[in-house]
Amino acid sequence: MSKHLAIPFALLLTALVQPVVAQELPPEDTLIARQSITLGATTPALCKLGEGNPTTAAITGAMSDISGERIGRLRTNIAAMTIAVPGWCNGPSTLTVSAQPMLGPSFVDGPTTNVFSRAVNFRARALGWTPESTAPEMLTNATRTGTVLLPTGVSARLIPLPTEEIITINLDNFAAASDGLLVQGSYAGTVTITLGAN
Amino acid sequence: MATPLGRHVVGPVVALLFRLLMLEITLTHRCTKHTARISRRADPVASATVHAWLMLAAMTGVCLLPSLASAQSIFPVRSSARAAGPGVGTNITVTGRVDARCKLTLTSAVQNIPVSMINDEGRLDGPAFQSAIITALNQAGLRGWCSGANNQLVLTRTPFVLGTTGTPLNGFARAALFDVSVTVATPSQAYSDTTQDGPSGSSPAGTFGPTGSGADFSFTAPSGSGGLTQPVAINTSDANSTAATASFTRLSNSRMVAGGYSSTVTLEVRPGL
Repeated sequence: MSKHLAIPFALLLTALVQPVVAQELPPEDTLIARQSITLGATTPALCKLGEGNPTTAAITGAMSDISGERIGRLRTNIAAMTIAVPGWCNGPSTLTVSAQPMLGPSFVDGPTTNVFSRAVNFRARALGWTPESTAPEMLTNATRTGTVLLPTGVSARLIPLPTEEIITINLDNFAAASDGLLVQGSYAGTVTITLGAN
Repeated sequence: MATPLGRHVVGPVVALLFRLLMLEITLTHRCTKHTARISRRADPVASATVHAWLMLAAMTGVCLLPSLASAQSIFPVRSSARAAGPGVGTNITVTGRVDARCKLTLTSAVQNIPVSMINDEGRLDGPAFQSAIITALNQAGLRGWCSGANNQLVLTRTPFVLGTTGTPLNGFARAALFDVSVTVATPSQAYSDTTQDGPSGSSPAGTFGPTGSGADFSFTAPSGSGGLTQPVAINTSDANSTAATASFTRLSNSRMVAGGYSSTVTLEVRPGL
């Protein structure tokens, strides 16, 4: 009997001293099960140039004067030419322009032919992607006999932002090497622009 | 020397304790015979429980001890050869509650999509990218279970964003939005939700995943009707937006800025009875 009394009494005192607290449910938010999946994806750096318009640039008419003081020499009124090329880069990029001088037929250079020239130099600029003052440009540098020397000009420019724009290739400042008498024949040069993703 | 306040407090407390002690003794005596019979037959755990009942009796003034027969039905008796004798008392209905619970597990929480987001024109390669997203999500190994009868699935996603903002850069898009649906199947029914409605959640879903780590969640492309069947470039300044698809501003024909993009797909299961 005393054993049965002792335990309930102790429990009773405990029950009296401690306040009765209802069992609390966890906050609703803690009951929510949640999982997240992080997805990673990549857009690669990419540049693209479209087709030039026009695809070729030709000097209209004869390159040399056919009369007057400069007869036989490069005309001074050759108009600048432009070629439009659409392009884009989706990140930082470098636009580079390079050019080869217009060269005509070869000839045997000697004391009697040293007044002739087979090279026409020019300036090629890539306008539109940068301010004109910082447009990449190259001035070809060939001798009258057609030897190609190092060109001049800052031919590459960094474009820090993604860009989509028409690149306008501007050709001007045509000049025969040593202002010589142009050798008869056809002349051709090349201009190359390059868009590189950085 | 007791203060007046002490006399006012101590006196009633002592009187209360004395009264409770008398009540305890009276009720214990009333129930002792019955208690002893149960205690002899039941396990120690049962005996302790009987003592708890006794305490309850002291507190309530009523002997709530069950009859020996009902006690035997609750507590295992040590020997079946000891048949229950006649008893007096009141039956107690013991009830319990299993709250609704849900759990989700993943085998891999980070998934890198191995294909390029864009095509040769620098624009989102919608079909290929959508397919890669679904594959990546299913490779995460999402499984789960819910014990309630009215659970809710809430599937959300943030757009793919380059860095911390998705606003266009020099005309190029820096965010892409997509939609996915998730489904968990039971033998009799499938429950699903989609991202296109933002964090609105699904219709009530019943129990699923009764054993092991639960049932597989399966991701699929949405069927349309407001959901994107393939990713689109968007203009967003909020990389963490989980809003509905219709609330985003789409960029038509925009190319994507180069770089690494990330998105988060989150599934919540909210348990409900």
